[in-house]
Amino acid sequence: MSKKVATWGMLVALAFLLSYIETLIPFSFGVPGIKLGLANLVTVIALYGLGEKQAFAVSLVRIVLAGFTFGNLSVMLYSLAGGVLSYLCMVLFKRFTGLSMVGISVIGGVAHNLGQLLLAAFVLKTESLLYYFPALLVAGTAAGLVIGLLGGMVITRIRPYMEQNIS
Amino acid sequence: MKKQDLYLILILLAAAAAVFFGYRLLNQGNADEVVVYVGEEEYARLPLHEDEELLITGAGDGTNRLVIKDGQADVTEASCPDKICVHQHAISEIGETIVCMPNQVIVTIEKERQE
Repeated sequence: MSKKVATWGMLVALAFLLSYIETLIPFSFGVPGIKLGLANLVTVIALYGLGEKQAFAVSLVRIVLAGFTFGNLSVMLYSLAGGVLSYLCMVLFKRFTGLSMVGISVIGGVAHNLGQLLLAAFVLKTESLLYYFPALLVAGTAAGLVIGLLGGMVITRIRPYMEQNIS
Repeated sequence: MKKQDLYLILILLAAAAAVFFGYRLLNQGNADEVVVYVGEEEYARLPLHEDEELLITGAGDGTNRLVIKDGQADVTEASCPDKICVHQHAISEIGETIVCMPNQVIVTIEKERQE
């Protein structure tokens, strides 16, 4: 039981740390609240190392925790919008397509940014934000690609230990 | 990385390029306007290519200073706590926005409205 708690705790802590690092990187578009989505790395690792439900739990905890610590309610809402859409898309594409971890990660990165953009458009009641769609697509793809490659390297090394701890 | 992944990335990049160039194509013109929205209402509409300064009064009596100079619009001062809107860079293309959430102010560039 304690190994399980330690493993989950470690994953959340890692995601939390990545969220913090995000706050250090200036990333300002014409829309406040848009972020890189680095913490997605942990979601991907949890998804492939533990499972769908576990990945969702780790993500949710991280979003709420990081939201309270590093941001405000608005930042947390954007994080939630991005995180939820990202998670849903990753799970769907993982189940129904033959994409590898890299592809799924790219889907996650793009969906994360799309979720944030959609929320911003809804909150500000404007479609003019469409202007940023190409930039977010590219940024999401790039972030997803890096995370996918990193995730692949991490998973091959620690998956046996993760399974050991959880079962 | 599998072939499928590569296709996905290429499709996404192609979609980004398509939207990017399509947007530019649809929005050609040189007499663009700086439009300020407070909440859902249009607050001010100024030509982009005429230098001008405007003190916007937003939600809750919050203020943002809008400066239009040399074909760019920028928010240089604001009463909000985070000043994210001030840090956002000056805008000059149709579709770009500067947003101040606390004051519910959106500054954007639009195509000139035909009167």
